[in-house]
Amino acid sequence: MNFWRLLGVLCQAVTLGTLLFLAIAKLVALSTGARVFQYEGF
Amino acid sequence: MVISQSGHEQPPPRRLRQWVDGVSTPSLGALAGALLVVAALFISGALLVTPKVMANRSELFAANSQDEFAFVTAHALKIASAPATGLSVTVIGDSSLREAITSPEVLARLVSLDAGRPIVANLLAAGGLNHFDEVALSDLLRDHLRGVILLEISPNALNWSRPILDTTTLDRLGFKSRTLDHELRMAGVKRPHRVGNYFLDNYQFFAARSSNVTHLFNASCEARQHLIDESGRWSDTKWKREGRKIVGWEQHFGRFEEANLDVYRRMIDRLRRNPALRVGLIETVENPRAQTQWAGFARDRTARARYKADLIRLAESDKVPILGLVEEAELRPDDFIDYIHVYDSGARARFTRVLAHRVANLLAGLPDEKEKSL
Repeated sequence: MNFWRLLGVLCQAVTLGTLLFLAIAKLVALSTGARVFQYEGF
Repeated sequence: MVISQSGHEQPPPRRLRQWVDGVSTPSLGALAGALLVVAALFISGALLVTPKVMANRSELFAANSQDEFAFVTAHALKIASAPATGLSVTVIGDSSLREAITSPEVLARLVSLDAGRPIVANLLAAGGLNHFDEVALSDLLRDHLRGVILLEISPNALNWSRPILDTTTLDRLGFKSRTLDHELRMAGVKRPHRVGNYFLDNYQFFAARSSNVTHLFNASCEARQHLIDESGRWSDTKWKREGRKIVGWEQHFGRFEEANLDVYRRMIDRLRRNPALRVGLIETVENPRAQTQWAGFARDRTARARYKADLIRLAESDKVPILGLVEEAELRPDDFIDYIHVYDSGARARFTRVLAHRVANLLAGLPDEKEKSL
């Protein structure tokens, strides 16, 4: 495969992988009820 | 210039087209690569995110300057990362103590002056921090402190019940405690199995802060202490409205006070296993107006009377000093913004001075340096 095309595929993989990782983290947070606790008593 | 297989040079626009083609065309290779990246990030987290990193780079993990539980976690892990050396005073509590104390630095200076020797002050306070969080924090810090540790106690703490535990986020602190797990199991709350890896065991703490990825490039998040300074003072209407809510919290008081007192008793016993640590309880800093404002609620009167009796019993049975400093610090209703938050800087100074004096008395008799074993 052409070097420049391979570099493009690599960039796509890194971007997609990072977004997928963050999406999984968000999904885990939503499904387990995990949140940044900030007291809102009043 | 790139030489193609045919020996001809490829012009830059063609290279760019090929790169864009690679970036924009869905392919099995890119999908496999993306999954590898996910796995790599996951493994990197498990290997690189350690208590030490959390302790030293809290700005990376705190969602914002009001993410108190992240800052308390980082502070506690920092203390726990080193053996106890000099004397210190550690105050663990909720926003009422956070607002009443001028600053840990001022507290340290006043205690040092009063005690006549250098003392470090640690303020581990966060809005809504309860006695189960205190169990986790005191368990983590017990063997890393010498001096005084003060745990906050309040009528609200003695009112905690299983329904409240179930509906409150339990994993707010970014570390796990076997002792806390044990306490919660005793209270009937199921706790998950731990795998022994910091990142994986605290996945909820980090998952909730996944959007913090931008902090890797712009980590400018710093802890702030007096968060209440931005709030408005309670109006008379608010006093009436919130009164019903707060008194409503006391509905379980009679049923669960003994179980909650036992949580405190066990916590005090565990802390006393460190002979270089003096344990005390410190009461929530409550606006004197609350007592008169809500005197009409029979439930509030009953809960207050039982709470006071509980404190006397606890002080006698466990020989633990209980600091109630509102009167001694001459705090007046106008010094508060609501029913537990001191707003006035002069009032904060008075409270900190009185607290420092009491802490200095508790420190009496403790040696300055850890005695070296022969």
